[in-house]
Amino acid sequence: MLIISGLTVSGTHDPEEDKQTLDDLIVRTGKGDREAFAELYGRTRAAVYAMALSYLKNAEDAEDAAQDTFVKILTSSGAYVPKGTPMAWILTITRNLSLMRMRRRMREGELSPEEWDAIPEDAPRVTSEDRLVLGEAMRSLTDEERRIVLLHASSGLKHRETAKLLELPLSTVLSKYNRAIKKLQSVLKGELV
Amino acid sequence: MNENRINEMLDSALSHAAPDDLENVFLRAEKEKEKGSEIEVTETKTKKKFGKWQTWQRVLVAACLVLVVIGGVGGILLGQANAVVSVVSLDVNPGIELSINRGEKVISCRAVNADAEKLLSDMGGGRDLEGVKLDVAVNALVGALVRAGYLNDISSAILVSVEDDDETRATRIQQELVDYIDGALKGESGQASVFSHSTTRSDVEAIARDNNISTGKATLINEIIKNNGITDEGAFEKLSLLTVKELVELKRTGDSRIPIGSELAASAAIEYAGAAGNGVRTDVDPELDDVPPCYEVEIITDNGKYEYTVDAYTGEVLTGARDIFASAPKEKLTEDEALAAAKAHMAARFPELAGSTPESVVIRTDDKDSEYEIEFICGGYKFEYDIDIYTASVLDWDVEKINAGGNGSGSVMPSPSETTAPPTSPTPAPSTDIGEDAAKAAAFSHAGVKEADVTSLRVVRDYDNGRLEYDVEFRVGNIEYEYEINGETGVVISYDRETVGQAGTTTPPATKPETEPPTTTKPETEPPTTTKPTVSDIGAESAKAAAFAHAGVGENEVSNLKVERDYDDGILEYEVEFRVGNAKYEYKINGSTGAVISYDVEGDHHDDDHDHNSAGGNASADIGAEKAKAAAFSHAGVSEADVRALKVERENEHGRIEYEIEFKVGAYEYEYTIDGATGKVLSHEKDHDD
Repeated sequence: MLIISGLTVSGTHDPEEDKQTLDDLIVRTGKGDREAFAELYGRTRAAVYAMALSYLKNAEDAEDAAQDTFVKILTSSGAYVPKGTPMAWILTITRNLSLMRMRRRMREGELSPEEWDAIPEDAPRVTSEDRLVLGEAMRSLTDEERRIVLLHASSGLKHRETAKLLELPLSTVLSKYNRAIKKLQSVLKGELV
Repeated sequence: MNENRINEMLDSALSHAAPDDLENVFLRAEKEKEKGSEIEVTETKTKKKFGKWQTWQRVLVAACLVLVVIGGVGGILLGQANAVVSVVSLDVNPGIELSINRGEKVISCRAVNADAEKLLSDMGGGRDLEGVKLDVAVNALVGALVRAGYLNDISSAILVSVEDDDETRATRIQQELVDYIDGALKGESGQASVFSHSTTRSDVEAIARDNNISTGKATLINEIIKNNGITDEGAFEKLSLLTVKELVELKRTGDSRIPIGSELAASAAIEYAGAAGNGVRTDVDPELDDVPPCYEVEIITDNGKYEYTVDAYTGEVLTGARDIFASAPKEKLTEDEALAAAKAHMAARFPELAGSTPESVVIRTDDKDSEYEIEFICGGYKFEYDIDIYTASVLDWDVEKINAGGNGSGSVMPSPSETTAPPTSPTPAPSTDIGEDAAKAAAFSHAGVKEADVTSLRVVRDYDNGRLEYDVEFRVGNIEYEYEINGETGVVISYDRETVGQAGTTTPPATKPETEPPTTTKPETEPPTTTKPTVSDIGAESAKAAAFAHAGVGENEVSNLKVERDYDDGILEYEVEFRVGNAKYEYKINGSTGAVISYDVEGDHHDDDHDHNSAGGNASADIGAEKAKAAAFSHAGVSEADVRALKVERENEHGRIEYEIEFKVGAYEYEYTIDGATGKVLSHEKDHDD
């Protein structure tokens, strides 16, 4: 049984090196290398969850969509052609799976915007600070602001890449990012040191 | 609070909240593969039965596990720590025996046969398990078995036998192991059955070793001899040659006769087929609990596959083609002759069409040049025939009504039900018909369920390959069953069982939407001319999304996008075509489930063209056929040992060497184009094997 440490992509890595590594991990996954997949999972699961959460706005659905994404990666990475945009490839899968899930949910009439919750009740690693900051991100921001901020924080993507991924003009991404950060600064002021 | 701090906090919160369950992803991917192949094989009617058999046979070759704990050797060995009190053995047709001491640690691990040796090869031949606790060792072995694909099928059977002189301990260990394996399997596929028994140590060990089987299998054999009342001389030796699946099925039937075994069944089929000495391969699947008990034998030749059923006790071949090689060297038919054969077949079944002239006739030969594939339209129906290129025999046929209006043509068989069919509807003439109730009863009996417990029942009377069938679908709790029952004999042709959703929820399974209220049991009440799709439709947007997700591209990257909604053999499909740069993608997406049915990528190597040309003068570089093959196999994730019908062609394309490589693995056909200079995969395609 494999045990995976909770690696995440933080902003301190060299982005180009990260891309190379992720590309390499996906290719190795495609060849059946389970350890490569395990590392890929550890490095990208936060960003994938962020993407799913920013569309689905519900912890449970986002978890499912995140896991779906990795199942998809595991079963289809054999056909992956490295293009230097591994994170975009992964997050596109997440977005499409999230959209499919959202449509299904809407068809089934289950979607009720008031019901969403960013964090599962029984998540053991989530601190009260986590709960607060994510909760505010969900409550105070618009859909697009939330997407942009969450992806920026977790994926290591540049604004230009986020813009491409979300199919928005770069200027929109930049302005919405700045506005979102300001909103968060203001609502979190006083709440956290 | 600055921007960086907010980003850090968000990243940390997301990382803490994001699911961290890699094991679950691996498990689901395994299942997806299973499910994926099942969904795919049911997509194409003419290939459906065959595909399913193949899947099952592959798994069933060794789908049974016997876990045996034997104890009480004790005493005479090197003190307590090394005293064997129990022996655990795992059989996957093969067998593994674990000798256990009083502290329930493994003292030794023995492979009973070759498959077991293979399984243990990456555990130091079993030595890695020595000294570890029994549950840890079993965990490792069950994991290895699952990964090797042994335990994912409905017909997988696990036998846990515990032999130990201490009866209490035997029972306890048995229960612990059963619970453990049961739990592990529920997390996997939940498909395998767990059998168990515990006995005190007997002389079974000696006889087991004499016959090169595990003690667990030996105990099972003894039970069968006793319970089934088998009195043949040498019964033990004869039964020891059977697989665990055969034994479990035999035990279930209570038959006092001894089946002939897979090898004899294969030889009987080969002899009947006139294929002896032709170096053919066979796949054998025992169906001892079918009526009549039989072996299903598939003979695989270079010209294709032939299916036979062989009586499990007499060795008589019940169905299958004779003299499969004798017909090969004969003259090929002309297209007209093949069309005439198809028309004659149609006229025999649809007398009112006898005088009509087929329109829009398309005739082509299949890629093996062994059959004509003929399509034509006649009397408002589209007919498809596969005609043997030498014998004119009808290998397969299908008919669907052409929908006059609306998008796509719904596939509906001309209904053979006499009273409700409109006079213009062609009516195949069945010889006998057991009726819907008998078909239902046969399915329920096979599934071991009571009609009172059944929900979402759906019975469809159908013709497949000219044979009357009942497709019976139902649910019991959260288990969904699908049966195909021979409409003339009541024999179970195929069945499938799947766990869907949670028990008690009403969420329909994603793959099989219920389109009727659960109480509706008579699809006959629908007019037979109904061509409206009765399946759910994910819509073009989702189909596109599925294709893009599979291709790993964003919609904004694609050009020349084309999405077509279509019905293929009654299955809603979306054909999604698009380009990304120089690459052309073609997808077929299941319109109900979003599953990728097939896909094709072409091009995407213009840059390379450039590279080669600009590199100057290395156009003649050639890695050779072996390396090209290896590149294709590696890309497809297959090993050469599993590959059949391999074709390698070296081609000179505009001064550049390319290898065209075709091969088959399991139910799939692969086509690769490999760059002869670099070994790069230029294009590849994976599709169902005809």
